[in-house]
Amino acid sequence: MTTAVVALKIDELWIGLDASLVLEVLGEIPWVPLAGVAAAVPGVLAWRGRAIAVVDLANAAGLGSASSPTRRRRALVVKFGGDTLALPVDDVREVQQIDAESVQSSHATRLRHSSTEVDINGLTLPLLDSSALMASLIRTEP
Amino acid sequence: MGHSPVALAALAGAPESLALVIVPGRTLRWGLPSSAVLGAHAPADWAGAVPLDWEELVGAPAPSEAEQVRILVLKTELAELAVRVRGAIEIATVEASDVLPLPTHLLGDEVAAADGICFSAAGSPLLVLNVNRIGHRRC
Repeated sequence: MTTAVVALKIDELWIGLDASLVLEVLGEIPWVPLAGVAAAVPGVLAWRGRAIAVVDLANAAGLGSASSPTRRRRALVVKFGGDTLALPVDDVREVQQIDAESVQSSHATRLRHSSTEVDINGLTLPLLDSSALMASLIRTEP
Repeated sequence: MGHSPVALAALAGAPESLALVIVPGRTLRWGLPSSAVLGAHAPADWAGAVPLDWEELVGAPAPSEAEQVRILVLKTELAELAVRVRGAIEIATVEASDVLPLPTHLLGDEVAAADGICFSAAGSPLLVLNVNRIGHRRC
């Protein structure tokens, strides 16, 4: 049994994400920063007739990045639970099919909202736990 | 007796329009329903209560080169609010269906005063505010 993983890059760190959660890969796209909101969800983006939240993964995952999410060259539109989100990223690689058995508990990587990792092309990537990320982002009941 | 063009448009399900008073900001603008704006006064002509500061009210920086100052009087469910705004005030009409709901459960209470955001208005995006929610936060 295989699972599809897409590798995305934030600053110098590659992170794996379940590819089935990705709806679209956009280029550099302007989004609207909002005042007074959490740094992890700094604004909104117009996408297919909706206003979707922009998530600064560097902030949400505790990477301590100095880069502004407005400067990232691409954006993934993802569906995490019932929410559609935009994740600005620096780079995205093509989807990789990996053996589900090769997903292991984290040993070589350490990332907030990740407890597993995978090897892709000789690189060990933390796998983002979208449920854990969303639990950390929700500020009020929808 | 025939229907007026406006009535015919309503019968045909024409989109509902929303008249807004636009307050500029540095990165986006705010739209207030014109029905909730009772007046706009020059500061020298204002003799009412000390106005609230708009930037403080919405938690956002003012336009960097704004020189024009006006006192807007807003009508809310609870009270009339006088608010000092900076920058050129405009009037615009948008289609109500173009005002998109915000994911407030992720953005938090700071944007809870907004009914939504309009990307299709000419110029920068427009955050459409609900003055009653502003009133509830301040009264």
